[in-house]
Amino acid sequence: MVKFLFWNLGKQSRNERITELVRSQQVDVLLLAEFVEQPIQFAERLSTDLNIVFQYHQHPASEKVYLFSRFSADAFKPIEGASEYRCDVFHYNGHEILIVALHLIAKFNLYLPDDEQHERSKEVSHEIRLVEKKLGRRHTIAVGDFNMNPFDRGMVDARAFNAVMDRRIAKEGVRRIRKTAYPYFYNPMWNCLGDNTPDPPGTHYYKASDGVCYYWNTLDQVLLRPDLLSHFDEGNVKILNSTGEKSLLNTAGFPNRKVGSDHLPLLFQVNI
Amino acid sequence: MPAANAKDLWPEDLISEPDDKSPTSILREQAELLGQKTNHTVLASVETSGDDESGQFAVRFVLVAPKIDDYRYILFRIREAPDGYPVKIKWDNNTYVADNESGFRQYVQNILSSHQTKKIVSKLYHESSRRWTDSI
Repeated sequence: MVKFLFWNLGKQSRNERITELVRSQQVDVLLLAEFVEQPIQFAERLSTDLNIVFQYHQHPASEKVYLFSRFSADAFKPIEGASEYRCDVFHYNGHEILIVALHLIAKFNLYLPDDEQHERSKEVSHEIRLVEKKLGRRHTIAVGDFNMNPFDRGMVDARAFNAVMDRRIAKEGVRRIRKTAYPYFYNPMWNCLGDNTPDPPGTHYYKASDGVCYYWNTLDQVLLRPDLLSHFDEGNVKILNSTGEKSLLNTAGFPNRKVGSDHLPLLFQVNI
Repeated sequence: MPAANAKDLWPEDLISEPDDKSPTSILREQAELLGQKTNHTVLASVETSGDDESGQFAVRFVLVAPKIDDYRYILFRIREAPDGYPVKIKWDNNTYVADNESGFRQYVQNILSSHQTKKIVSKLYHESSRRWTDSI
């Protein structure tokens, strides 16, 4: 079993909070976006605080998401990067899993055309499919701040992430459009929407001035290819509202930037 | 076969040279130049795929480091119309539109000479050199 934690830190220095999270949740792989620390020094401090070696897995060029783990340096092999993502092959227990850790362009960017986020999703998804083709398998986990909700076009469009809410549909493998087969992702984040779960209603809170406002957004997500679903149970993904020692919410129940970040951490586990 | 007295209404310059060089061919030239500048330690390639929906071509300018197990970095992307221009350039969080060859060349020059690009190419170059030294 491997536990992953992704957190967009909102450019805040949160060493203590991260240590508390890794300790309380027994995190194996830590993925951090908008991370402002010196990564090598951070890994050394984390290792000292936890009394266990935490490795910084540097990518040759991509710096969008920083990756740390309890595993040896060669457990993650970097194979591709871009300004929005990094791709690593994770070797563990006889498994080879493609980890795509990403932070896509902002949802609330006034300077981009309306359809740009959707178009970029299609491009990034296409690039992931090319990496999978090169590797010859689709054992892929895509995780990070997608800057989209699970129901946004860039998440759902077959030519983009093609991420569905029903694992039975995902297990069909591909959706065909005009003779082209697009592989499905399963998106377990659909189960985390709204207030009928023990966890917060989303990972990010934003009160917009325009008429359409969701207030809570689930921008931080994890997607799995169907080949990995036998290693993933319902309930294996959680939006965290506490580090185990400190609440990450303010008194109104929204993400508290003064303690944590404007995003809440996302925890998931893969049974391998 | 036209009649002997048929008057030729076609212009002399029916087949003209294209006004602008296509974005993809400009990128291919720049990709070749990078290899020369880095002693082929960091290479670049231009990859194209079609978009059924829009009829445009999605083009990626990719850095490749052969000595780091062929690690690839997608530096920027463009969306090219079938007839070349206008072309959309996507770099980091920005999107630009170039209406012609000179505008496109200017945007590409800005990207290639940016601090960000220099940093990425330098990192790939030095990491490649380090791995090469370690292996001997």
